[in-house]
Amino acid sequence: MTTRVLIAEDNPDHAFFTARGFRAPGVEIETVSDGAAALDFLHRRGEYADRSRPHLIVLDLKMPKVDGLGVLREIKESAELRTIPTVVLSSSDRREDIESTYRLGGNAYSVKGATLDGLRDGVRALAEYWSELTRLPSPPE
Amino acid sequence: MQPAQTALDMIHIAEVLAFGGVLLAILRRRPPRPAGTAWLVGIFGIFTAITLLGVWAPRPTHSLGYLLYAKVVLAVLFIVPYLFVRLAEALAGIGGRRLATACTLAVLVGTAALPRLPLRGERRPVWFWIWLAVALLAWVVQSFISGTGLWRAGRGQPTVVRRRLRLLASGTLALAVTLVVSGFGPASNPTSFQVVVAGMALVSILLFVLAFALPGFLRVLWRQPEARQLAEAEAELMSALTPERVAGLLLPHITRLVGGSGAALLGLDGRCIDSYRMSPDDLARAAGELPGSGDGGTCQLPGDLVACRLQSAWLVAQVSAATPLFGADEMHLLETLGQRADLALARGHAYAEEQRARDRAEAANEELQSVLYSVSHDLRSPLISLAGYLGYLREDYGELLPDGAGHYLSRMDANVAYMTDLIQDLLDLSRVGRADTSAIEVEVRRLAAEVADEVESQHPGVRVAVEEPLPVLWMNDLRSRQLFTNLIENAVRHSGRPDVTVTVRATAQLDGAALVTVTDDGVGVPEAYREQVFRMFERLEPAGGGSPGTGIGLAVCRRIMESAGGRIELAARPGGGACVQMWFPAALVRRWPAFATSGSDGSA
Repeated sequence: MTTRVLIAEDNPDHAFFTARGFRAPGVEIETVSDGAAALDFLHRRGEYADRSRPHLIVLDLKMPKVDGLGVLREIKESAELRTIPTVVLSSSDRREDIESTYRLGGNAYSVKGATLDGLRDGVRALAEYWSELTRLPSPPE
Repeated sequence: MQPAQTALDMIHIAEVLAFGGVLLAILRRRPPRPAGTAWLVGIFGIFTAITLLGVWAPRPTHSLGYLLYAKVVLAVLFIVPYLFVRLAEALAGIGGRRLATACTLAVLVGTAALPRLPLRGERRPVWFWIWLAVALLAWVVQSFISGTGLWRAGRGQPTVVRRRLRLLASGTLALAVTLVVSGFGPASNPTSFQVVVAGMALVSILLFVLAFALPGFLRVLWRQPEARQLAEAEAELMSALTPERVAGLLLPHITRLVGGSGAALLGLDGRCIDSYRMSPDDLARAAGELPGSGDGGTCQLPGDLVACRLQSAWLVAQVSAATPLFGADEMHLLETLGQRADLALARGHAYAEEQRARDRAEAANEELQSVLYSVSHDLRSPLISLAGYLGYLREDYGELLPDGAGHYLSRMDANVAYMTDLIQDLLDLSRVGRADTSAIEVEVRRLAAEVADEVESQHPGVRVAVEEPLPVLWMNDLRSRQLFTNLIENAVRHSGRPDVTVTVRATAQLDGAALVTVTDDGVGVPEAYREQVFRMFERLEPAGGGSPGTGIGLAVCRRIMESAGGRIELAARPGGGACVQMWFPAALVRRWPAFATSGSDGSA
């Protein structure tokens, strides 16, 4: 059984590290680079019409078009999508970003490593937790 | 000639001289003459004339000619209290003119109606007593009006003005008493009685003379209370930094000291900086009358205004009717006061200039800090990516890389790490000048112990000794931590030996300051470089190799110490090693826990 992870991240380097961190046998990774594309993907619209919904969403906050909180709000307000665990991975450690994430129903908030190895190791730990330690619900059809 | 008669004559002569002298002094006074001069001239003119008549009077007879002569003299004499009331009105604005007019008219009519005057030694008829009583009563009433009015007008006035008004009041009342005594005296009117009356009159006159031609020494003496107040205000003046504040502090004192009614400080363009008890009309008049150019010194403006040219302003004083005399002394006094105001204004001006320069420098500094902050923040992001890729390069393709590539990779790692440190230090440095400066109680003993644990765990072999007593300082939490972290790490880094011992200790200074030292037993720093190490990017070894460190750490420490008001220096430790000395001023030292004073000699 494969686990599908959707990564919404506009910085290609960060997208790489996140994807690389989650890369494991049985894990399928999809990457989008802005909030609108993430929503299209989740609603299976346009170029993403034929994609299956992910088991897990990893969201950056600062993204073009629709920002991470906007995407999160839409996910959690949608009866269809709200069961998909959504993790925010941001370089911001501002209090209000953290509070907003959980208020909107986000499942976790993680700060991108501020140290040299932090980004790599942090994402790895995050990936390990979400794809190995936890059991995710089946994505909505 | 009898001695009493001689005394009487001498008193008369003294009176004539006094009256005449005052009269001359009044008439010789430069225009503009103060209010009430006309009434004053009247009073002293009458006194002079009557005293002269008293000396060379015609022999009293029952002739019609003498009766007319006597009536004219009496009528003129009884106008005097009316003149007093008018004078008091002019000087102090008291009322009662109507009552005075009524009294005087009654006395004049009565005098005109007198059928004859009893001669010396004759029996005085009843109608004469009635006339005399009415005349004296009128005199007393009017003297009372003017005397009490003048006395009351002195209340709250500058000492010199108050005393002058009270001298006048006393003179007026004393004269009334003299007249009553003389009027109800023995009919035979012996010479000795006349001497007493003339003496009393002389005393009253002297009071007037004093009041009008107040001698310089009395003016100086009576200004002393105001001078003391001014001296007290001077202390406050030291902290007056705006022209408005200087004016606000000085003007009341200047007014009182010169005995004026008000004062103002005008800009050179005539704009009012501040005024004290001057009406807008008077201010506008003063501004309009200021000479175009002044070369210092004082000048009399038309009306009741005196101006003194200062370096950057005009000092204007308004003279009141009750001001004793505005002569050369007062002009000089005003000039002296003006010079003090000038000094205070110049000081305020210099301070404002300095403040502006400081604000500009601060704004520039703040901008630099904020640029520094955002630049160093933005620089980190690509570095972190770089480090990440390096890691994955090694992890994913490490086995494929030829020998030797590993060395390049590790040099890249080292350089990335070094640059990250640089940026972190830049961030720290920019934070010293930024935002959070709030202070709390920092227990140096605990702080040093925490830093020591951290450093010892990172550098096995290193020992950090924290010797008590250490003070509790009033400092910013983060900065104090940064300070001790930088110092202890710096000592370890540059000691040149892996088993270095770093010692933190402190001694209380006589002035209440705390001297905290961070000493190591490493290689030390040559004297020539001991100041250089506190400059930014000054390292004693080439960057990137040899000992780690960015060369910012000690610069940050110096900034922290200086912004806290302290001082930091590097000294040599006897027997080798470096010793960083930090002086925390008494204001930052909250207390010394456990020990009141330090037992150690602090010579390390």
